[in-house]
Amino acid sequence: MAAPFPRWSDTALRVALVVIVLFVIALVAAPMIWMRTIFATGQTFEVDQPVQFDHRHHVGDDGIACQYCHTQVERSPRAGIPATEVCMGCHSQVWHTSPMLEPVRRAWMSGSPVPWRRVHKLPDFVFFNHSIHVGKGVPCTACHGRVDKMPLVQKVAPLTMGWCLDCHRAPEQHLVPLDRVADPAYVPKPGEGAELAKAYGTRHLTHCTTCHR
Amino acid sequence: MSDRDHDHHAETPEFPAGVDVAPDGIARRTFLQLVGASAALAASGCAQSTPPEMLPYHEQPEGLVEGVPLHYATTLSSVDGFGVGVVVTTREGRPLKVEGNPDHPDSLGATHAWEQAAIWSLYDPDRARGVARMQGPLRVPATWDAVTAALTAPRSDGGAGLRLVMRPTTSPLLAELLGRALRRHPSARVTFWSPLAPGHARAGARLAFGAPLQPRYDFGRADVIVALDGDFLTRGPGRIRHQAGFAARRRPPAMARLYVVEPSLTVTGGMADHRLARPSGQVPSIAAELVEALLSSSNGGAAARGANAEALAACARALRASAPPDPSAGNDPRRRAFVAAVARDLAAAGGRVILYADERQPPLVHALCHALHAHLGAVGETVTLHPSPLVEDTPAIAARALDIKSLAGELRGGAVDTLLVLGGNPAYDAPADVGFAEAMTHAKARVVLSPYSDETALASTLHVAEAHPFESWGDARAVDGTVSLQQPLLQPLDGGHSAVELLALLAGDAAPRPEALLRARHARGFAAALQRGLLDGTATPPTTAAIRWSALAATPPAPPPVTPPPAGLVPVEVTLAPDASVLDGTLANNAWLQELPRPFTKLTWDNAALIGPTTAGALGVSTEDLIAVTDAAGRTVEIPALVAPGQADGTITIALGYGRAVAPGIGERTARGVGRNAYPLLTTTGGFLVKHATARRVGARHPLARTQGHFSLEGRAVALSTTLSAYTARPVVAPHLRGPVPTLMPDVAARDLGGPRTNEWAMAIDLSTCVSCNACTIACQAENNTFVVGKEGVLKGREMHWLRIDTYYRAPVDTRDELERATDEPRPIHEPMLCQHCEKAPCEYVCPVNATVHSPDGLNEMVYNRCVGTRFCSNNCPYKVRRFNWFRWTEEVPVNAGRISLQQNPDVTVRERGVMEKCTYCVQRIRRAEIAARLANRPLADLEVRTACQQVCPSGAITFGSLTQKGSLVSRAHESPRNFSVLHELGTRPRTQYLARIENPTPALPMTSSDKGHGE
Amino acid sequence: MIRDRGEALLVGTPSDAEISRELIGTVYRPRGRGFRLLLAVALLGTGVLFTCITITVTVGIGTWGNNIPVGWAFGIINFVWWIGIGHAGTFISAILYLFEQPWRTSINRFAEGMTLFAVMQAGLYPLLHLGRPWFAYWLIPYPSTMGTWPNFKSALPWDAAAIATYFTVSLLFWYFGLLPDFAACRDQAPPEARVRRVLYGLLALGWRGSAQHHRHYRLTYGLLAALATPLVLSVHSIVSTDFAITMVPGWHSTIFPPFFVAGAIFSGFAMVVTLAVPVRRVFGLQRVITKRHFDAMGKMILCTGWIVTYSYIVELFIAWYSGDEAEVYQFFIARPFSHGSWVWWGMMLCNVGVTQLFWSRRFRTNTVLVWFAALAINFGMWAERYVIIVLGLQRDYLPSSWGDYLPTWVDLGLFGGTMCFFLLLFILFLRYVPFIAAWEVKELAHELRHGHAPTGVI
Repeated sequence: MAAPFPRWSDTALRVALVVIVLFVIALVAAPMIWMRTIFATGQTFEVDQPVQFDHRHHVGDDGIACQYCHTQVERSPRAGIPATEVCMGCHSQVWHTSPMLEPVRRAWMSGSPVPWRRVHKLPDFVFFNHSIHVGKGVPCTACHGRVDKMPLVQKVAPLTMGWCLDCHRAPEQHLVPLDRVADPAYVPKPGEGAELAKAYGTRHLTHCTTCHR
Repeated sequence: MSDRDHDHHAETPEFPAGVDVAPDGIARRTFLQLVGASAALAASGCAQSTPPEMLPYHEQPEGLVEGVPLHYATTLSSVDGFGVGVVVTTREGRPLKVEGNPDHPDSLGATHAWEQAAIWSLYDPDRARGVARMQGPLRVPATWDAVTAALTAPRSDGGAGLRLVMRPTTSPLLAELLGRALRRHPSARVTFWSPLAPGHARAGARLAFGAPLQPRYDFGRADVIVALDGDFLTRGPGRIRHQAGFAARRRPPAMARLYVVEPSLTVTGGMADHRLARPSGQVPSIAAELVEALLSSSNGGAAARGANAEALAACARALRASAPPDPSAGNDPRRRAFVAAVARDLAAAGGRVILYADERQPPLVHALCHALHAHLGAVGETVTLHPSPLVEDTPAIAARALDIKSLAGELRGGAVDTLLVLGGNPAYDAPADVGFAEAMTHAKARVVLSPYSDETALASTLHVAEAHPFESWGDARAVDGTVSLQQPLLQPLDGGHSAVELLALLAGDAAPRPEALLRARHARGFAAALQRGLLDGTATPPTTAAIRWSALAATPPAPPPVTPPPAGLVPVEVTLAPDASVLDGTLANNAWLQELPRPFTKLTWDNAALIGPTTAGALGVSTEDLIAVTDAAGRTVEIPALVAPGQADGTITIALGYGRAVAPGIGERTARGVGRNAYPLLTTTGGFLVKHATARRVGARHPLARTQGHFSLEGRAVALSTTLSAYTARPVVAPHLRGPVPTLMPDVAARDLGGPRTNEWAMAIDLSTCVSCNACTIACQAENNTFVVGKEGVLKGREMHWLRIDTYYRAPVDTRDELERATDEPRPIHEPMLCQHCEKAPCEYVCPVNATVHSPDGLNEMVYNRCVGTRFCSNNCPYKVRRFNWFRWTEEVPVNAGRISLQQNPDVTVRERGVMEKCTYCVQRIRRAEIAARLANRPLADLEVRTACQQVCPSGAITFGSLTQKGSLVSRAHESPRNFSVLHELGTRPRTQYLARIENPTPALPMTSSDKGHGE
Repeated sequence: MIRDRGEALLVGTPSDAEISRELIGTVYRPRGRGFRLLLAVALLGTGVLFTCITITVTVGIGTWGNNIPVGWAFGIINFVWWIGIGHAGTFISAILYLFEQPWRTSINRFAEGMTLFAVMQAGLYPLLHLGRPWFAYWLIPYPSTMGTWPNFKSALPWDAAAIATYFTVSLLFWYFGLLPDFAACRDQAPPEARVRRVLYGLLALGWRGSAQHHRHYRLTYGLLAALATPLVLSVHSIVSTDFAITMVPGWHSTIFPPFFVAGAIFSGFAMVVTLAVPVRRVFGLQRVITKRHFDAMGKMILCTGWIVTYSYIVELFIAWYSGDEAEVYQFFIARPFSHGSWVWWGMMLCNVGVTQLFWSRRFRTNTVLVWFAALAINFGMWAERYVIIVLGLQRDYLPSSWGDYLPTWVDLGLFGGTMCFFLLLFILFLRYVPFIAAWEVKELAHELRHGHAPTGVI
């Protein structure tokens, strides 16, 4: 009876075995790598907004402080999306005919709000509080990056739990003086963070109910 | 909610800013988030759910900070018409949580379960919408104009054919409007109807003083309290203040002594130092014996007050005569000893006494209590008398009042063409012999104001949906007459209207503006009152009315109702009682209350016939057997039996308010099919007492969903108690159940929990003052977004309450199916059980994914989004306080879904299917307070953080705080000699510790079984 | 006919050809009606299993009878039961191999198969009983973007690891042992069965039976046996810690690891017997699987059965000796008298009572009686897990939270379903794989023929 397999089948079998092993390894490694890519975290992707609001212009050129529009950031868990009246406060005077601002004017007239698109979104089981961060010297840029250089706001931080923990374990690296939290250009001096941490009584809060309640 | 709310904004500029913009801006976003949360959580396991867009406000509402709660002072009226001042927490326009108003004399900052549950009723999906013409069960939408036309139209007959039905109320505004309406229709009559208030107490006051005075009790000052079938802790005007005062005197050393005579265990009876389980029908004769004992006793002061003595003796004789012949009385040593002991204590108390009777008791008993108060000098000491705040007692209106039976007569007589029912549900809860449902159909026009399409609404021609108290303007009085305001927190969700509007229409005001009317009624200090919740200086000074001894002495003995008991059947006395949760049925559609375990029976989603072990034996029934209870007139109610310890022999107690007969699909869907209707047994003659009834086994069975099945302590030192005498002799309860336990492990205090030790959160619960009123359980539910699981869920042992109240019977009982064998004196003890936040938590080391861990400030943290649901932690929790999400409760129990999600606390995660949950010590409140304090660079003060259960507790039984704050209440409680830990020997080092219950029995009476606590 | 003590290990002196025909030939025999019928039943039951799995995963654990306080029930009971059954296979093929017990040869193959399939059933439950099975991978230590790790103090991550290891090793061991017989299947393939010839050829990994092959083979097989041996003890020890580390009355016990291992082997051998008897009858293997084998297995059952019995006694003694209220109540009132106590009595009857029958050699060698006894023991060991888990949880520390447990149809469906799934896998194994190690039997035959029979003492 003829041999069921040609000579090369041994080699083929060995190759096959190697491939199988590699495939299994990839199966485990791939998702772990994927989770760390910007495609999973959604970083650096510009989000189209109903109004081409340009932070670069408002913050950078005009030097308007963050709190001018995000009025509640120092008192509230949420930074807050400025009410339409805030926009109209200026734009009823300046650029009040600009077609770019048409949606805002329509919103102001109709009373139905501008449907802004969300860029930074934490899961519903995460309770982030803006006021305590800003109130203890964590600058806006620590999480939101150089908004003053963004034509359209994009997510710069991965906002993963690991990323949050990195800062919560060593907040010193990010702290700035309270009066500079809203200054995107401010660069803390070496060692300043540590002193501020002492001054503000910064704590290293890494227990779960800090964020999950 | 819809945009129409927003349209109304312009019309009501004086609204607290932002209150009514709920539909727009943040509220909707939060709402989307919440709904999105539950949906997305469920779908993708805590995956991110990005709402498509963010909607900013049009104009930033003044005073509203996103994510920061606002508080509004308003008022909730009890079924008896008296107001309880509350403070409602709102977030972005959504009312979330009710707290007591500390300034209100009848709240003192606390509430009972009903006030807590009001928030659920607000979002109840079954509420009727707007105005409708009724065509049978069909609601044909109509306009407000229809109501205006019906009520403002001038009448030729001067109102001869016009009749009103109202619930008892104390509202000055309603009083004024009703007065105006009655003046406009001079021959119209009004009926005040509530099945719970037949008016015996007021009739008793009339007997005693000649006027329906309202007694106001100060239990904080009473040394001896005698409850004659009267549950003053959870019933009647001032209940919350009663509980606070009573609790103040349950802590050693200066303890009051409580005697209770009652047919079945009530919250008050459970706190008694000496309790006599006897039928309600025997209470009058027991009262008579008490009087005689008092008069005969040496220092009863009989000599001093001869005339009084005469009158009292006369009352006693009258009572004896009116009471049914009671053979057992003669040979009842326990009863005799009890009465003697009470008399001795009363005489010795020097006026610091309170005698309290229930509406169930005849007027003469109430009159006797008043007389005894006067006789013993309690008036001015523990009791003050105030002019009745009830509208029906104002002379002008009393003159026009009509009792419900005569009203039914007039209706049948065809004299009435227009019937106006302003609240209440007489078609369901009027006495059987009145037959109101049938009677009211004789009126041509039947305008009914009620929140649901209930029995009365279905029998109406024009149904007006009643607005929730949180949606409408109004006011109410406290027992002492203090007026508190009721202000709307949002526009009516279902376009409801209030009695104020309808009465105003009737008074001829074509376009009533309730807010304007109220402002006009209380012109002085209105704005301030809106802030504080009540109008200063509206309390009425105590009257100095004297007892009319002569009149009392002349009381004719009412002939006892004699009905021969049918032969062959076991005769029983049936006592009808308001249900601990749904009261008279008004709250039957409230899922929170339906699932709230009733005290002692721990029954949910049902009512049952409570029967004592002996009687059950005689009837041959056991728990869950269906029995047929038939009264002398042959009216029968079929209802499952529940063998209840502490039930007097020969009696059956049935809770009212169940068995709502509402057609499927409409009206109160949650209430439908729950329990059996006991109103057929309620009559105008017998009242709550159905004498000479009979009961027999039907044969069928009916499962009862109870949250606790085993009531014996099994001799385990779990809930400790001892007597005052023993405690004062040796002021230590259980040295072996406190302090450090021997261990080989490193001390947990030395363990580095990461980060500096800021606070050490801990709790102390006082078993001496916990009366099991259940307010904490439901407050926790409201605060922490806990779902209801329905009867099925409870039957399967899957209730989700984070805080439960365990009740144990200390009397020796058999270890198996012990209820059948418990004595009639079960001597209950209550133990609120919630996460103990053990320093060495058994749940923590078994969790495979670190989903439950310890925080540096001593919290046992439960991280829902990390939990994979092995339930290992629950198995290993010796306190069994962990709750598991067996289903996606929003799908399994639909009532959890939809509008009620607007109530969900945005600071607390809505738990997904398959994760474990438990008490967190209200960590969201802790963190909020911490952040506020740290932003202000100040340390947290003691009691700055209060848990929901602590804040609501009328007894102040729950203390919460930080052990690191020296002198904090909780640290002092932990050092108290009464302090002990449950299952201390396991070495879990619980942060929630308990104070042993101290009781104050009189040495004059023999100690009942196992009076010795585990302490000694 | 050669016999060392007692019955023959191998009846007659079959030639290699005969053995091959008898043992390898099975895979090429035409399928009978009986097979089709059995297959249909097994497939049906498997269908039920996957239906119940779907319901559990989509609707929730609420479809089970579990509640508070009984957080674990059928899921974990069945898991422990199945994993326990697996142990006999490993014990036979690994430990008895190292001890050179000649009676293992003709039963080790399908005992290993049984192990493999049992572990597969067992593996289902820990996944299913999770509230959120889709996050089961959180029990595995891996660097996550959340910066979190499993809790190594808990028994469950170790449990997961143990099951995974056990399955892998069992699979390798079983497959490796099969190589020569796959080769035999390849070589004996009738001309018409070309496809299967190729398939068996692939599975045989080019085994040609040369002396070199055999030398490598022996070495590796020995190593695998040595690797598998500790698992027999470790796996169920770890499983037992799921209970032993807790403070639940009736769980909190230091004797659990040995207790569980003994119980596992006890139930495992019972299952081997349960399977061996019908297989022997159906395939007419009286020559290869002799009374001697049942005699030996009977002795193992008796021995392990007594360890289990002893553990019961110790448990009761410790409970009484500890004086702990909850423990005393648990062992002396809850288990014998409370809700579901009939299971406790059943456990005692089967595990303690029935075991004693194995004292008699005549009983041990009567395949019919032994079969029924084995069934009883299978139930008894399931009952033991029910008693420990459910009765333990029903009555713990606070009387207020005592509750009772009743399974739902989903619970029963999952249990019956896994049995059918097991049956399915097993009959396919019997049909398409040489389920008795033919080459080892040949070896044994040679050894017996040439006199120097291994002196295995049983």
